[in-house]
Amino acid sequence: MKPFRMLVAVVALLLLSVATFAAGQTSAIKTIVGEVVDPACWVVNGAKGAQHAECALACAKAGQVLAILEEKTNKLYLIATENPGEDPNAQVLQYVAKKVTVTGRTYTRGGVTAIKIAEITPGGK
Amino acid sequence: MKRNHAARAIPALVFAAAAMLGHPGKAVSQSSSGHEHHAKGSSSDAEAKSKAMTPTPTPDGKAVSLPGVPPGRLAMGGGVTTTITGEVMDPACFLEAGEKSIGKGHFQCAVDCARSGQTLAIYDREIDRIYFVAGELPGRNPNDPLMQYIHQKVDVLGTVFHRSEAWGVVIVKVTPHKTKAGAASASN
Repeated sequence: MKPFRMLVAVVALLLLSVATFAAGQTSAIKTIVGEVVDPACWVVNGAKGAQHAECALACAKAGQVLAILEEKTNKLYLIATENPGEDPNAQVLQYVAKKVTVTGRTYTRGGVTAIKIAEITPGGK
Repeated sequence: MKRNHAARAIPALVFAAAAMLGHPGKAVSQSSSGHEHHAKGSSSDAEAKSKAMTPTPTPDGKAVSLPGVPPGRLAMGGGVTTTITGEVMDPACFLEAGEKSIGKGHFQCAVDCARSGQTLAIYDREIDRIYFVAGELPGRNPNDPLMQYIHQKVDVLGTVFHRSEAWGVVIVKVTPHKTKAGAASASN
């Protein structure tokens, strides 16, 4: 009886996982440490850091969504919001060109990874 | 006997689940294990990702190309100036909801997101690739050339870059995509 229950539990878990991932949703939360960058200048010119902060700030205020460049991997995480009408840059604008620790839900599709920020704190290890 | 069947079935299901989670083209979360895999990579991996991908010459040597990008001319910074085709979309909603976020029912949401600061993107459905739009100059809204084409298929003349696993395009010109019959396509 126990193995049968275990099998049912595994199948249920499997189905739940498939449904979750098919919908592109996940409850997995991830914490990354990296710099808040303007992805346009980073991808095009490799520009980041304090010397580029003013440009990144101008780009962000003009409508360029910011991103987190993960320190360990150099992977780019675009910022996404939970609801339409929310400014994705609002949570990170004060940290432009600075190192932050961000916890949130990540999504990868079409070669792009985004993070919905649940918590952001300056600095990080 | 039942015990034996169950014992064999469980690893098979776990394997199947693992295979599905790693299926390309599907939305997957960055699980902690996947992240650790990246984190365990050598620092040279991270350094390589920080460098823009270098375009390679086409066989005839008359142009350069990046993977999946139509051949074009080499641009400053290692980009390729070419024309890409795709749908104008809101990447934030697409990342969560997938292709159903591109269409009639989601049009106003995409407009609202774009107006509130979400940068629009070009989605090439054929190769499942998002090109996020990079503003050409600081202070200029990168969405300006795209707002009128939300959820429409367009041809974008611009310079394509690839760095840190992301594809970006600096737009020069946007025109409605024309089908072979000559009619412009629109989905909204």
